[in-house]
Amino acid sequence: MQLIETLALLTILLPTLGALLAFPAGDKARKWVVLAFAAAIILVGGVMTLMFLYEGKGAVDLGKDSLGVDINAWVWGITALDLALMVFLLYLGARSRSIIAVVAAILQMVIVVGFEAWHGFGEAPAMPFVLDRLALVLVAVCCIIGSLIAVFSIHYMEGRAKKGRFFAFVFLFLGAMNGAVLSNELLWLFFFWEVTTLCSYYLIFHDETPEAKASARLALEITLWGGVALAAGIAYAGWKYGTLEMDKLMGMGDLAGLGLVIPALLVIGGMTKSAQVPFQSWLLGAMVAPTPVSALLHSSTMVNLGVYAIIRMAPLLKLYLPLSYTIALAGGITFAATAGLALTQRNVKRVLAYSTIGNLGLVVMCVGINTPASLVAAVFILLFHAVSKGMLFLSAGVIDHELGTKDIEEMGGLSERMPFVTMIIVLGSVSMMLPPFGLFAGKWLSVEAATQMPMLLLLLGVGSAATVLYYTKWVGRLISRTHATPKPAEPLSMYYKVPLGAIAAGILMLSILTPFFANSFAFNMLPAGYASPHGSAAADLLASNSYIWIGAVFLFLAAGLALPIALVAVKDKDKAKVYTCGEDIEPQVAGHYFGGERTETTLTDLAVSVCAGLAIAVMLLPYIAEVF
Amino acid sequence: MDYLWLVIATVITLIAPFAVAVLAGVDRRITARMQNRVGPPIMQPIYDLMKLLAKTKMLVNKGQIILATLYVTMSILALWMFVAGADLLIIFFVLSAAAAFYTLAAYSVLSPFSQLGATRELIQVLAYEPVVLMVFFGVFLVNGSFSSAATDNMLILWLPLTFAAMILVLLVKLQKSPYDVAEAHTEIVGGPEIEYSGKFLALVKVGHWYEAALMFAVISLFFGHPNLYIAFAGKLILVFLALFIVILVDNSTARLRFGQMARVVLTYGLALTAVNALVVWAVQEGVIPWP
Repeated sequence: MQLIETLALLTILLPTLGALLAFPAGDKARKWVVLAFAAAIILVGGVMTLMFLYEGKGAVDLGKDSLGVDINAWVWGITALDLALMVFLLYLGARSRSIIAVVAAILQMVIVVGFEAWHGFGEAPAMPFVLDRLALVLVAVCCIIGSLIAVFSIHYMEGRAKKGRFFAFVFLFLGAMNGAVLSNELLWLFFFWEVTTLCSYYLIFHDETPEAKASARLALEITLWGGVALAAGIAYAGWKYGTLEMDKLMGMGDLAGLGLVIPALLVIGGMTKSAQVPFQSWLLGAMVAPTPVSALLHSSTMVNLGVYAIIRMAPLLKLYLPLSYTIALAGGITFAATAGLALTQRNVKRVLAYSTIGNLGLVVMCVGINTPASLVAAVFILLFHAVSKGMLFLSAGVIDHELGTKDIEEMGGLSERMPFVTMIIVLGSVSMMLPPFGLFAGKWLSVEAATQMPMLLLLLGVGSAATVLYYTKWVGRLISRTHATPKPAEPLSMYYKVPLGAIAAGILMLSILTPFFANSFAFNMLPAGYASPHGSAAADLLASNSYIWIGAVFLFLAAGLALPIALVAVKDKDKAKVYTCGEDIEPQVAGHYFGGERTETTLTDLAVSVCAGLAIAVMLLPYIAEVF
Repeated sequence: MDYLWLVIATVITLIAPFAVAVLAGVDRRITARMQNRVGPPIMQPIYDLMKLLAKTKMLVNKGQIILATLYVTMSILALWMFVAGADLLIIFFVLSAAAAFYTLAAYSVLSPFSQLGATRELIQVLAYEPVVLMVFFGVFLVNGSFSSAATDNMLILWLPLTFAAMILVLLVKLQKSPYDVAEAHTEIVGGPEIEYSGKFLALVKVGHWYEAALMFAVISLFFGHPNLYIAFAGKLILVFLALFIVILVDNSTARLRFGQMARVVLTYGLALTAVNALVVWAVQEGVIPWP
């Protein structure tokens, strides 16, 4: 067994072991368990990433003989666990008295057990795991950001109940996420997929308030039905094409007619996981969970898994462009609509949640456009969004924990109270929308790709302008300040500072390395059948001349920061009071929320009905392709 | 990439604000004539700027000055990129960075006027940015690329409606009635700019000139001709034409409310550009026969 193969397996096994140890441990011991395992997971993920990059590999195949123990042990173990898990999910559905979840759990069981009975239990896959470039991006994000979130949670969760269960599910989540991403065998993917459903259920459920229970139930219902779609797609692939392995499925260039049901079902499954409109409601409900859970769901695990599955389906979608373009349209509408919805929100966690749904919508849109450049854009957006969003959610968590508020209007002057956190939020927001940071490169590529479907361009334009609006509005509230001497900032816990600082440094580094990342990594990661993205102006610029343009942006940003800091000396006599018509107060104006809840309801209804129509169209198109 | 051209672009970028200042002077003269006044000298904007630079330094907080400088550097960068022939899309993003910094500077002071102005400014961004993107898309449709380098294509003939949409954007960006809702001096006393004075106000003004220069540069893109002199003259005429329309509209309309502003710019702007793009596409694809 090669070292990199061991490391890849460790990204699944190590978090699982961490979960098993963190669950029973006492408070003091648990802290050390979490720290040790977080460090170990970061180390494993980091070393694996560096080795992969250094060796310049396309993919590391973990064949059935390179899993350490006998493959049959794996197969039977996972099959048994899968059955147990499905029974347990059924129990959870029954316990939360949700007929919808129960039906979904039974259906899953019928499909999977029925299929395995037909197919033969315990058949060993030839290639159970594959670590390719796309998987590497997700595993690296999951290991590094996910572990930092776990470290952050140590302080955040202090004084809360049931911490053992909390940390166990956090670690299990990371392991399951890595497992799902690495799985080449589709039934294994399904198993890990359902483990993430279980983890998200318990993490949302954690506070056990009626609201938390209701949200957990909603999440269970929606994601279980997504699981049904996934199981059906996998079973159909195995039944009709006799293959259960992703790489073989991808290689099927002659998938036509009803066969397209496979990518259609997997995309629908992915849309539920990624909380795409019309399935977005569970992710908003999930906001009742402790903030690190939101960070975990939004940046390193859950939602990424959905779009990961959708990105994987790109070569199959390409076989029937109407299907692909319908998905692109759904993604574009999701992006524009959620950007509009974020404008109406005062609760910062909801703003961020809408922003997540929207950015993943952008990823889905890029996959749907299905050109080499747009697929690269999808990966760019996925990666940079994950990193930035993790940081923003953790910052919102710090504010919530220290000041007890999630309301944007109550965060006025935060730059005086918590300068460090404010800086982090400024960096995070800027990196979500403005050049020269990574997400901008993805947006640039995606706008260019959208010229294929000008209607998407309209949605993109409106969506990105609204994105600028809601982030600027938030940051603007944080930095509004006067001459009043800053109050001594409360010292932040190191458990907060270190993860936030580490992610911030990561964002800066990734942004500077954007051209390198594009050139030597992202442009080579496309599945077979895709030309290199060169030829697209944005891709060419990113690859070659971008040091001039992106470098210029960095230079001008640095100049804009450095010049006034160096040249403008502020003495007391220079200071002026703001103009307030002669009144001796500093009145504050509330932000504009575009009609708040009323607009939110109208817009949600509109977006949900349109996207539900598109989702139905996605399901019907294979039949249409079959008939015509 | 020709490095000499980058140097030339830098020089052009450095003198651009003076050209815009002259245009602003012309604007004030024409406006005065329309209102039966004589008006100031053409160079008045420059004199104003020099006077501002000589004033005593006063500021509310340093953060605002830093953000304002970032706004100015981003505006300069956008113009420099345009002249250097960068991709229009990257310019689009830099432009939105400039707008974001400008608003953040306004939000950073606790003045009700500044805060109101900042929110209005953002709503303006929401209104004109999608239109700018669609204008760039129109250029892409005809030229076949997003490059900002001048071509021989006579875009105005292909994209008359897009040009009209660009005038809407120009009205917003030049803070002209009916779309001067953010600055709105008679209502919220200058909005985002209320707390600048002296050299810092001069700084922000220079930023505006750069933004205006970029807008006029985009306008000039609509005229192209193989003959360099004709192209130059045509571009100049087009810029003055756009300026004249803007002045005319400015003097014959009253300010809209910001909601109306957003609705008008967004709906008309997007409709004009979309219809135009559709027609161009139809002609290119041969759906509409063209001689």
